[in-house]
Amino acid sequence: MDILKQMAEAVIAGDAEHCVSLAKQAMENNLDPVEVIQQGFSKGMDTVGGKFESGEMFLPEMMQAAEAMKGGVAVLKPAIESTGSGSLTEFGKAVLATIQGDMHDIGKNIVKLLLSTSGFEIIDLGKDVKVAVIIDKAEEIHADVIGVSALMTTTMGYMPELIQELQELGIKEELPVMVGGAPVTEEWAKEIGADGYAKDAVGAVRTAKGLAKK
Amino acid sequence: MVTFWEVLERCGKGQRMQESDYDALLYKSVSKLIEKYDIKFDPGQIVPDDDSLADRAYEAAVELFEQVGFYCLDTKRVVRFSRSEIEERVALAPDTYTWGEGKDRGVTYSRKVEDLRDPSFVASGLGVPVPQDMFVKVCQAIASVPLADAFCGVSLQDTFRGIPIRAGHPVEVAAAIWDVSKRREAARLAGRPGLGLYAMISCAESTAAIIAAAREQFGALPADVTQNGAIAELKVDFARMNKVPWQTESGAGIAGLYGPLMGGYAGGPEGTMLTQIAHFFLGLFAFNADYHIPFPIDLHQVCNSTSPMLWLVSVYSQALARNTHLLNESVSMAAAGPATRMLFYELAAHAVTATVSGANLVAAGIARDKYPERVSTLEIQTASEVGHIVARMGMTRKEANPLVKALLSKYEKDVPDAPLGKKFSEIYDMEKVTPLPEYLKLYESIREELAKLGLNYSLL
Repeated sequence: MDILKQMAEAVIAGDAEHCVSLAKQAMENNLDPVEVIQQGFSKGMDTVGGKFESGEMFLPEMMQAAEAMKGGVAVLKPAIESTGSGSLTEFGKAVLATIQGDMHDIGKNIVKLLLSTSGFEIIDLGKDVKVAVIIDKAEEIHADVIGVSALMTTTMGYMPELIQELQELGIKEELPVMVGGAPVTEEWAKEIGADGYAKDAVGAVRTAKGLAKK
Repeated sequence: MVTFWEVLERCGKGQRMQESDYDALLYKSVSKLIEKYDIKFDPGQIVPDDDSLADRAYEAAVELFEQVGFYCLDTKRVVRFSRSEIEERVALAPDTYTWGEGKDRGVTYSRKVEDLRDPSFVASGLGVPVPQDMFVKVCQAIASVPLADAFCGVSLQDTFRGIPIRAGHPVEVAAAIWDVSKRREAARLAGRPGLGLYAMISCAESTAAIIAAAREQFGALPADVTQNGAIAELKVDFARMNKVPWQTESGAGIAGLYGPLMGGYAGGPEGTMLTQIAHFFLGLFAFNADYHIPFPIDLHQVCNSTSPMLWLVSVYSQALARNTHLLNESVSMAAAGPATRMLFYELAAHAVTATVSGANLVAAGIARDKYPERVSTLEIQTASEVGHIVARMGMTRKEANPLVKALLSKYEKDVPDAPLGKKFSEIYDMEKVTPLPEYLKLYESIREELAKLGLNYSLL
């Protein structure tokens, strides 16, 4: 089996040690590290995401796969940085938060997991995050996308406030916002002026990539 | 007995741990315990009739709670309890709760597996957002479900007086007061002024708003209940626990609300089932819960009407019914929307499963509890009727299993793309607040279909 397939399978198995040794082997064989990540580890993570979505894998297994991939990527990172041959975060920076008043962050954490293995640098502000804090951080780091989630109908009201604030500050165009969470619908997302919506974490990756590329 | 005050002390003294490490600890513990106790989901036995499985599940859940306790988000500490402390707290928990007053009084009590007594029934549309101008009528329709022992209406949609409702915002307090008073008005309009509120307020998250609204002058009855929700999985924070001193000293009813996510931190149906039971223990210690409202959900499908979820409902309910007298108010969460055959089937499948497994019934989360006005009543009524019939027939788990599978065969493949159904205003005469003829016809046709499947409607 070629090494890229082995890398994908090591990620699917959540085998961190194997990911590290395969990454070292790739370096010894002078393989392009960016291609190794994209065609090896990331392919494995795509499969994991699909299996998670279809219920064949559970969140802890997906977390283990992501950790395994990060172990392998850490081996490749110095080579990428020294050669300038590409970027591990080609889609830029995503600021994520569970909105003010809401402590339920499992959805945001799943999105974080998938975005972090899909070419984004993640700035996770955690849960119960005030609108002003989200805006300040997104501005400070020149985020490419903001992602906010809510589980409660009583907290989703902060999402339109976030968007209105961005509009009033005149930075809405620079800082696209995607929203999600159990009570949030696509119609409502449009109504409040969100730039993107996803009903699940895999969809959130697609949405985030689309928004970050704009 | 370990008191709430002792629990608070342990919140400051337990093992310090990062939240992500606690999540990993939970999965590790759950994985070992399901292997140790040989617990395995069997798609052929949605309603298992294996007492040993139920007892093993209970033992495993006690051991799980001994190992992982619950996680306090404020102090980042694991709060643990010994087996004897868990057993003592369970033994001293209430085995009945009385909602409402006068002739509208309703009682929920601890049921046993294959219990011949009727399940208590709560008519609910909690979570479904409804705009302010329709709120009373929808709540009135829900309070009118004939077999309801208590009700809770729907959730106020995102604005009040045109201002978005936000937790911690002043409008939250105003909306909560309005919410309570309108629910009581709805009960009056339904001709059941004393019908209890099993969850008093839907539009408030903060303790300040809940305490402000839960007053008799706004329509709350003394036994109306406020809920304390755990955070998935097995987590609490002081913002939720700080209602407890007020609830305890005022005598307000306390409901523990737990929605473990299948596919999440506890893994598959087996681990999530154990976590569901462990949440009952969390509710006793962290919330002083009088009764328990479990609503396990499939993380992807956002419902609990699939085979693994109904198995989970059955096994956790049997485990609790056989080993405790805790009050288990099992919530059905459906994928389909109002006035679809699928919604009737989903709620009937849950009612059969939960009733024979020793639970009481709460129906229902509709259309994944998400879409405005996607709430209805005749499906809720059907769930109440099915639960009563199943108990009165003396249906066994063995008899229930093929019936549940027959119902599943009618809808399970459609769960991912479940029909959204109709809005309340499309199936109700909004002046009279009565179902429209087409909707009634659908209900009648479902009754006939369920009768053909073996349900004896003459027992109602």
